[in-house]
Amino acid sequence: MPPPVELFPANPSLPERATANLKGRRRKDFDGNLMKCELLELVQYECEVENPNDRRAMARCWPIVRLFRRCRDREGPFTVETTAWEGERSKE
Amino acid sequence: MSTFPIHPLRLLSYTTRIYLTLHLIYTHLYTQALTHGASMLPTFSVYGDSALISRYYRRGRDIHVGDMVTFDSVVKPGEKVIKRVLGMPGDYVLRDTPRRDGGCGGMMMQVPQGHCWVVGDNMPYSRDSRHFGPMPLALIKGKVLSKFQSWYDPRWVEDGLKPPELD
Repeated sequence: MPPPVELFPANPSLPERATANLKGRRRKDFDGNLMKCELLELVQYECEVENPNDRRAMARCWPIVRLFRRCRDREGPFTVETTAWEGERSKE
Repeated sequence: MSTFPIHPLRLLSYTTRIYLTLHLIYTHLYTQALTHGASMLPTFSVYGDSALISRYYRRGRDIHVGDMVTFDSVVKPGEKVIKRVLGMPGDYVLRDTPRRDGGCGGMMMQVPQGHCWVVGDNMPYSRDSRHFGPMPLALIKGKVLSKFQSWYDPRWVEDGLKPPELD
């Protein structure tokens, strides 16, 4: 069984949440400004296979770009997925 | 005069040594696995691809966000699966699935100590952390180094997490 985790919405609380480390304490040397962290992306997909039983069947895929910020605190780098946070901010 | 070109005990000794050497290579260095299923499309086809896996990374050693890892399926016992790591301990990830139209919403969480967050590349066809939650790093059996078609033509897997491409 995985340990219980706390869920929260990306907006507006992600920057404040990201300042907490694994022990729930405030990260040192990180002020919560995600925009200062390195922006990275990871592409995943939504694919459809026309006939899954046919070994030669073609698959059609549509990319789904996920955004991440690689930040640093005193203990080293950590990543924060900002797909929801930045995606929703860009619509504002 | 013996009828064997080599003494049976010596033959047994050689066979055992070869078996143990191969066993060490497969469990601690490298192994190759056939892949099937639609959960890692388009990185791996539904049928007929195979993956070159490094065992150095077993139990999550030196694994980073964006890597593809193999582990024992928590849905089908005895079956091995390949998924992509989206979060390591202390990282923040989206628990839900982003949509194709760019919409998202959904809830976020912090990956707990000793765990990672894994998602298949073809999200609608994958059963992963979105269903069974954070996965223990200790279950990781290795990292996928290449889509392995032949010894002469390995397609090395690129870093999954990279700077955004400019439009």
